[in-house]
Amino acid sequence: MNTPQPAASGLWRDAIRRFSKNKLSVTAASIIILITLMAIFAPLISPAHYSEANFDDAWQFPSLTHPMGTDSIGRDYFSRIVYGARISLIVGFVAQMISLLIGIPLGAIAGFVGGRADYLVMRLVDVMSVFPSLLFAILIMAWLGSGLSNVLFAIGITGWVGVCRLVRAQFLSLREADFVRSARSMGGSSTHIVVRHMLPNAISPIIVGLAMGIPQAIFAEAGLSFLGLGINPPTPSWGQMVSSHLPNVIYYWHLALFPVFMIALIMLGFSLIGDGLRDALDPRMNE
Amino acid sequence: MRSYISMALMLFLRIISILTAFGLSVYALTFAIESDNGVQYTNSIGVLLPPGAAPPEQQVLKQFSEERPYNEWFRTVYKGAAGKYLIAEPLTRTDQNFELRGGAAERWEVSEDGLTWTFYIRPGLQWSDGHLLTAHDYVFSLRRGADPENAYDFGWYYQPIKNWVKVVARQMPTDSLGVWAADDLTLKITTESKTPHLPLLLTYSWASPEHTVKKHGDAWSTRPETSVSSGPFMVTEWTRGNEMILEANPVYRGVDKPYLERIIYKMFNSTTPPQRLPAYEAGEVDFAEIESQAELARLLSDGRLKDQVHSWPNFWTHYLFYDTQKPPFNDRRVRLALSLAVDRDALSRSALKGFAVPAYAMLPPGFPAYGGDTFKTMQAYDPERARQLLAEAGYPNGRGFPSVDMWLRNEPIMHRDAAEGLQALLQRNLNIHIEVRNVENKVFMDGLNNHTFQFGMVPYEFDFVDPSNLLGLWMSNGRHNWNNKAFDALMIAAGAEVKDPNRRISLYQDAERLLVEDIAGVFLWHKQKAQIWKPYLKGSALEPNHIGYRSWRGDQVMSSSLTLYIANL
Repeated sequence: MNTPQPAASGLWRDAIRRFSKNKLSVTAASIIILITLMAIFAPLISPAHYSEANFDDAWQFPSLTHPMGTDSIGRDYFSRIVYGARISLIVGFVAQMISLLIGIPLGAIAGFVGGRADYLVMRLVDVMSVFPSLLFAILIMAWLGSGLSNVLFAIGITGWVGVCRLVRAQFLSLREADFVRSARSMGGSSTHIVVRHMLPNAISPIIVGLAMGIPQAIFAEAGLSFLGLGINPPTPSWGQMVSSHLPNVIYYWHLALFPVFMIALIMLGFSLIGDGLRDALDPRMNE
Repeated sequence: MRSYISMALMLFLRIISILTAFGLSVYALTFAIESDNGVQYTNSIGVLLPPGAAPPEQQVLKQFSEERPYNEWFRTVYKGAAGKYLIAEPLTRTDQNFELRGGAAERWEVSEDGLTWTFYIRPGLQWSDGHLLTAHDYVFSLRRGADPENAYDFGWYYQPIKNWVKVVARQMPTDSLGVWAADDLTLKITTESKTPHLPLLLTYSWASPEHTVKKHGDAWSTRPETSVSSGPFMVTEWTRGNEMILEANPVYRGVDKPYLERIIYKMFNSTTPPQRLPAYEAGEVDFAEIESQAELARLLSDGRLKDQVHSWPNFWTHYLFYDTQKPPFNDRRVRLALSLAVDRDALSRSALKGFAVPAYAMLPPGFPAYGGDTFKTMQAYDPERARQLLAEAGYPNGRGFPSVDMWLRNEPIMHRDAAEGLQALLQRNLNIHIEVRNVENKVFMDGLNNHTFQFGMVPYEFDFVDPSNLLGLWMSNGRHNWNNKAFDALMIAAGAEVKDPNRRISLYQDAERLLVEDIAGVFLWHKQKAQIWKPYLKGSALEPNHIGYRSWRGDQVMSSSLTLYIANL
């Protein structure tokens, strides 16, 4: 352990150093960490359960007892916002994981095997790209019905195209790299070469893609819930909160303002982290 | 010298102005007479306007209306534009107090066996192209409604008419329908069974012009050039997606002559609903529907507008229905438990604030045979007893209760919120979880009519003011899977009671008691209507009647709605 692997640790150490020097990225990261903590500790933070209705307190504006007011059936709006972070983060991460699980193997096959396999995968990608992904997700939701697991599936299954293209492009260039040729000439199996040599070298664009994909997934969930095809009530989702209170915004402004603000904040946070990671992971970036 | 000229000029001008004023007043006197409130005008079709009404050229009503392809009642109701109520004369109408009165029919009588009705058409009625409006037009109209080729979307309504169902089902030709003309002015209608409310049913009988339909086909009502009218107004302009203009029909010979000269419908598509309130405030329309609590709260907080806001009860019941043939809802204790666990007052105070009153029965307050107050105690909010009943039925603290979906028919946000309130109440009081599923109209109606839904929430708004209308849908052949022979028998007995109206009402009350006591459904709330209208909009339809209801519904269905006029402010 006294001789650290020079190249790898150098890259990551540099990346962390570059990332932490970027004030915007650090701010964004702390926002996301805060939202994550909020989601994890929701039962501790929120004054009431998200589905607890106190009918006599309905339609209240923000006050000391209800910092974000109450909704049409007297549920504490702050509690619903706090619990809503769970849905957004679950959707952001899980849907991206599904996309990665589909996109990385397909991209790897296309890029590494090439030829007929590449052709087939890329035509599938073309077909998927023809549909706007939200439209495709709406189609799937209409078929499966609403609910969290269906939302995850619908967004994941429509989001893998970008990852697939990214991985394929990386693999195409890596396939001809010297260290891959050396590994092959020394008798390394295909699996060994892909898993040990090619994937680690393709990882940084994948991470950036992941960070950029999360806000898209969150926004897609908000969009589906806005259309009434997303999360089932009473589970709070920010998108659904916006949609169900849009007609009320002309007077009960707090009902649409807070969820819109949270959607904007989480989107901005993840997008800025993605930007920061892209810069940080690029070895050509030197200060 | 100059001053003389200017004085002479002044004098000349003054004389001119006096002469002009005199001329104008003489001119006005030919159209208007003096009254206590000042000038009283006569409009272009010879109707004396009420005292205080603005001059005829200002008698224009502007309102929003949804753009739809046709403008004929017996072609289609749900794809028919708002003008269909005004360009045709119905056989009967109701007034502000829901009392029946003659329309095209000046009187009617029923045979000794209660099955054959004779309607005597007012002589001298005519279409705007000069054709006479006769009994034959009504025979044609009703046959058109039953004709399977026409695929009429309101056909269920006329089922009491003899052979209607069979004609619709193509088992009989259209001319075997129990409607015929004894002569030009005598219409005969036979019914399947005794139907004392037939004249009330026929308030929805806006005639189609036989000669025009034969000449131009279905398209006759889609263009002003081919459109004819037997009603108080006629279509003079219809630019799709923009405006439909109705003008008072100068050759209308019926009894409901309007004060208004013109009605301008601002057309919109259902996919892009208009900004009603901003349009109202900008003076583009004279009245607007208020559709959410935020709108109501904003208007009531505005000192200038709050006096223009009006709300009143509507004959509309929102209720939960069960499939009482399958578990868990085949057990009356479960049904009652759910009813007792629902805090109706709380819903009316929160999600539905300002738009509903609690309901304890199908018939709303003020409706004939209303008995809601007597049913209130047996369904009063009692979570303790609800839990006990659920435990007795085998689900202590909700354990083992199957997961249930609550189906909703394309409900607006306000009612979805109320459904979430119900969900929260059932969770809190009975520890049972239900999923709220709001689906589009067709999916819902298929599920409802095929009885595939176990549980759901649905509204019913009245068609005519008779208990048979709101209670009829609970009969065994109706839309809910609650089969009660005793209820059916009472409904049939009440329907056949032609002679004694009081006995008829008490039979309906007995029927409703069965309905409520067996908890066939959970009656939740009766809707309140909320509208805003300009202070210059007047008319008896806008005034509360003896039960606090205003017959104005935003369209001109009832005869009292034709009393609208624009007042001088």
